[in-house]
Amino acid sequence: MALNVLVVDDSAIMRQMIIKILTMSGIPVEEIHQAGNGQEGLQVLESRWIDLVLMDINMPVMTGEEMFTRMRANPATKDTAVVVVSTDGSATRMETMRRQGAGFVHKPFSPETLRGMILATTGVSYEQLSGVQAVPSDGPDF
Amino acid sequence: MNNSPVSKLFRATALTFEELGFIVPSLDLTARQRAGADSDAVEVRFRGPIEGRLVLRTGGAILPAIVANMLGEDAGAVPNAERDALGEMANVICGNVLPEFAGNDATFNLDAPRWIAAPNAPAAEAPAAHARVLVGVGPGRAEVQLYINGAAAGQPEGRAA
Repeated sequence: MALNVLVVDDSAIMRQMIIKILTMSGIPVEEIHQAGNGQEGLQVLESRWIDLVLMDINMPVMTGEEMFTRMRANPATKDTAVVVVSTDGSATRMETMRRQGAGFVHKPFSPETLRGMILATTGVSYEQLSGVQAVPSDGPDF
Repeated sequence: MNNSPVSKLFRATALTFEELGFIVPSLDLTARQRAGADSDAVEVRFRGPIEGRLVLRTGGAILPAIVANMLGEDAGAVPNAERDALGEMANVICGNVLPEFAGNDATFNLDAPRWIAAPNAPAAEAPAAHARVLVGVGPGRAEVQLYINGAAAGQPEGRAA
């Protein structure tokens, strides 16, 4: 299983950095799409199948918070995995979005943190994503 | 741990340069770091329980080094990468320092980074910031100033003691 990913951030260098970390993390990725704000992000979601959205909060035109609210209100995207990658440190805002299923990674972040949150938010293991099969043991279970 | 405004600003600055720019800032500047010409600066305005702006100004050629660290061989793929990198650094410093002043429950809205021209007058003649840090970064330096509307200005030459 490989993921179609949408990265939404108004900073091109941050989008590129997230994509670099994503490709280095070992998580299989099929397609990566980019958007510079929430409105552009919603347009991508209308035209492409996306498994995972990585989004910033503070963006011009449409914030990530509004994009997330609109995604959750749309039956086609209400279950799409979302990881918020933001400088926003508000516990109140984070908790509101967490209750609706979003993961949260605070900038700056390590590659390990981003990978761990993607796995936790998509609900699949690294082995499932990469197609690695667990080998059954002939020995006794302990 | 010292909890002065300057220390809070220094911690956010150091964290951002280390983890986003992969470069370790120092409070002790070398002669070379002090000598580089001022470049343009960027400011991020914020609104919430407290309002104001954070200004990040660089001197010397630190931005090419930071972009190379952030993107490696992909550095050429991003147009205006140096300006974009500086804006993102300011954004991240701002997002990390505000909870230090207003608490983790506070919700802030940050404007997109805005470019401001390099000042003709020395920084010491500008209105005093609430907190200011000056750090050596690779071949140059970075100065971060935090302005909080309505707050008393801090010491003009901030040091994270």
